[in-house]
Amino acid sequence: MSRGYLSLVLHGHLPYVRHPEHEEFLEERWLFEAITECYVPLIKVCDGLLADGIPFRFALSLSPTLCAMLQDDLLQRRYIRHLERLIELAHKEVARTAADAKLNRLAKFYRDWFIETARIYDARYGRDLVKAFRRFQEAGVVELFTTCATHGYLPLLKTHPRAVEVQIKLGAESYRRSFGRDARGIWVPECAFYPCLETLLADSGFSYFFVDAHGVQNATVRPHYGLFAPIACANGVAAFGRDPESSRQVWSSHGGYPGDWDYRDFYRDLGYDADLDYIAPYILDRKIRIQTGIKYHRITGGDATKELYDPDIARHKVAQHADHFLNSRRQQIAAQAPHMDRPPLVVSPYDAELFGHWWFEGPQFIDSLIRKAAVEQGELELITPGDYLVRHHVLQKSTPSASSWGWQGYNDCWLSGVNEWIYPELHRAATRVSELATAFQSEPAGSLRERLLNQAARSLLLAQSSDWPFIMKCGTAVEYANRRVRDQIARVHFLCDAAVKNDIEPRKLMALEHLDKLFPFLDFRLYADPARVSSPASDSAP
Amino acid sequence: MTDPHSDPAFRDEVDEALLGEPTAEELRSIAEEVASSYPPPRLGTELVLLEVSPNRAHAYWNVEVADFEAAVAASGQDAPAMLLRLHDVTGLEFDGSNAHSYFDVQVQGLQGHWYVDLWQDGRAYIAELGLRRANGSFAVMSRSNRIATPASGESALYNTEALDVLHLGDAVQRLTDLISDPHLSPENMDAETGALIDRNPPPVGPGTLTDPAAYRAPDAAAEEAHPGAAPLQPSVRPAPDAKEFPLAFVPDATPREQIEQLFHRVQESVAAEPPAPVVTPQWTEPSSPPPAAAPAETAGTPATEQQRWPSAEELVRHVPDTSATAPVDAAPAREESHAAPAPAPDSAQQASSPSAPPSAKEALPLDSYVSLSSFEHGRPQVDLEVNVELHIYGRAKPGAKLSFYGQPVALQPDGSFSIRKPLPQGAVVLPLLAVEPPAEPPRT
Repeated sequence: MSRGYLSLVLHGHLPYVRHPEHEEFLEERWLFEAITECYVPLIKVCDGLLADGIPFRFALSLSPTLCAMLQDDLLQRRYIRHLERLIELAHKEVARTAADAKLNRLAKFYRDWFIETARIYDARYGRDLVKAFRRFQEAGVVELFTTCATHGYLPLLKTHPRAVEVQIKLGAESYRRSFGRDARGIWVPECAFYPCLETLLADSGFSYFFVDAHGVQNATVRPHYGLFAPIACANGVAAFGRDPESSRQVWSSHGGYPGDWDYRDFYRDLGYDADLDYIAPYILDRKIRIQTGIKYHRITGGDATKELYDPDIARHKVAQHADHFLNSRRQQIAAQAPHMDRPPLVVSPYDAELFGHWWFEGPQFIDSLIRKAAVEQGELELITPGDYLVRHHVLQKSTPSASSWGWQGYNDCWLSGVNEWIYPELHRAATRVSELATAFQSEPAGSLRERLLNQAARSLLLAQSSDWPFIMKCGTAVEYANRRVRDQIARVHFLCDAAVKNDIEPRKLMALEHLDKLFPFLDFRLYADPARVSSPASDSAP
Repeated sequence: MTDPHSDPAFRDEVDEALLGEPTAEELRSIAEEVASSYPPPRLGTELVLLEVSPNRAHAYWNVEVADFEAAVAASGQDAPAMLLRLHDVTGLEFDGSNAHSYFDVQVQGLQGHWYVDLWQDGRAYIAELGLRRANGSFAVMSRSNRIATPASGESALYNTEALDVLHLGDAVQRLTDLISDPHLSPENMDAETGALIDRNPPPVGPGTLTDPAAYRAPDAAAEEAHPGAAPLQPSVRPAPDAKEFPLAFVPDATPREQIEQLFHRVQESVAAEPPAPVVTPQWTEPSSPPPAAAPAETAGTPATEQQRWPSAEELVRHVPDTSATAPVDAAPAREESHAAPAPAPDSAQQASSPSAPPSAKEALPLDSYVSLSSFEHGRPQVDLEVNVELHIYGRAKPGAKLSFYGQPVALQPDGSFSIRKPLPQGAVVLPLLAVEPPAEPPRT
């Protein structure tokens, strides 16, 4: 038996951003940048480890909205267009920097990287990255799990229990359709747990979830092993607590690895540095400067002039940080092991998009970490939460306290002066959909009213995403987040009004189905209260 | 689940009438048209309560004009104050009248919202929105959902009961042979909040014992003069059979009468809820011997001649130590959330409390109260333990007798004094009693 375990957990999620009503849409680049910088590099790491015969295990949640976008025809086509432009720009950059050897080396680095990305995305995996991750799960190196349908922030939706239930059920169903099996674990969005939620998780077949450290530390019964072992809710669903030390080493903007001066600078980008005439074809509307993804500088530090990025030095630093990370985990484990009857477990969950997007060298760090861990079997073993529960299934009985991994540790980030306005809207929309679902639950399959209510349910789910209030709080793309909630809520009520009348202009319904095109399997009856027997469909329903 | 997109039936007659997929321009046009219907109307009277953090809640409401006008008409006033009432319903099935305590916040608007700071974490709350009637009672317009704020500290409950998550239903196991704290058991944990159940919470908040001004009856004239101020309402348990809750302190009651009623209610509450140590208040003048029995009066009944002001020592015995029941001491950040309930004594205190109250001369020394802090339940080895000491200083009339937790406080010749008290964890009531040199009623 190993002396201790490290569970690397990545949470892959992006909100559903897809705008067929515009030829080009700035926020769709969130997905494109994540594909280039996070998902394809992670896939490349896994392919490389598999090719080298390195044993490894880590857990990765892929949100239903992310899977829907990764498998969407329109977004796949638009990503290819995005990548082609990047490659074109990189070629221009190679030519433009020919006289500067250091810069030219970097330009070639980007050109080769984008071409390799296109090869992996298009040729190797046929533009379907969900297929790539499914392959890793089937190869036994990645444990995939899921999250709620649209990443709804459950503690603030629970005034309408059906809204929470559908978020969870749909997350399970979406995973089943994407990966052909049931997910064992669920990433509760933003690690936002509240007591009694475990009942709904169990009802959908989930065995484990994650909470932030204080969720376990303040659990109903003081955790005997602290954060070094999961606890079990009374119904047997296990809760894994986030290790704060390993989180800080990777997340912290002060002292965390990503802030090292030798790593690539996130903000300095060719889109802002190049002459406008030169960069115009690659920015928004040929005039609004945006990030292109080509970044030539390293963080450098202080107020000094930014120096050129050196991938070799960065790679060396990655190896040092991977060593440091593993040593820190070894020390934690060595300190705890004598006091435990089982190997201590360190759970290190992160947003997957941190690795590659915010921390450019992040995928290299994962690669280095896994390779180094592989050579010291017996000391520290990489394990997934599901594996752990198979080996150590007798857990202390205790239920985590309500908590989240956001600012202040509770709901403050998602409920404050800047985003509080959304909750009356979300709650009323959920009530409306639920009332109509109950009233029309006997509606025949394939009917117009069924289509209307299914689409209303999609709009409701999209409005519930935790990303919108988070963005409002962060102040980054506030107007877009505000607009999304308003638009989705308006669509809910528009469709509900039409469902009551059982009438709509056909092209309007078709347009709304094109606009919010996810969860084709969604059945509005999930929102119905089966205890209330529905009356025959009536045009005078609620 | 069905998949209508792949179901032939999905292509119904409506779709057949369509010609081609919508263009981007058409999509944009329809999207904008639908978006223009925002916002949807807010219909119905409702009050919703949401947890923000262990010590903060958020309420939003919508009141139909007709409901509001009906409530105003019933209030007997032209412009009655609108109140948001927070009921502490921890461990209770709330029936409208059985809350441990409540406090009020004055709010405005038929559509509105409010952040409410809470003095104690790990409690369950239900809110009501209503109007204050002319007689001081409360006319409810809407009642909220129930919320439960989490405990913000480690649980006091420790045991190693285990579950085999792969073989649920097997016999309960224990991780080790460690023995649970005999003073604590799962039955004492609140299922909603995870906090220790406060089985005997007094119906009054800290302010009730320290600030009689806080219990002054609502003064309509004063409110008119200061319309912006949210008046503090007494936090008392309403009569069990009252459908509408009369405020305990009627407008014509004097502060002294209010305080007497208040302490009477404390006595009833303590006596009614075993197994908390029942301490019969010995209502006496500070220098008088205690009467043989406490007066038995109902809430709201004027005090009798036999009733006397409580001594400092008696005050102390009605101040629960919060060492384990209130895991964190968090003062409210805003004035609106005053008058939070004071917690009951914890099991440790019960175990160490005498069965009968000590006489004034036998009052526990200050150190004894300090030792009842949550540190008793702390782990023997900690990485960091923080203790907080409160420095209370001020001035009284020279020659006055000052006591703190039943202990005399030395006054300087100029009347100034200085006290330091290590604070236990949780909400704390600090009874400071000053008796002026003449035989006038003391002010607490």
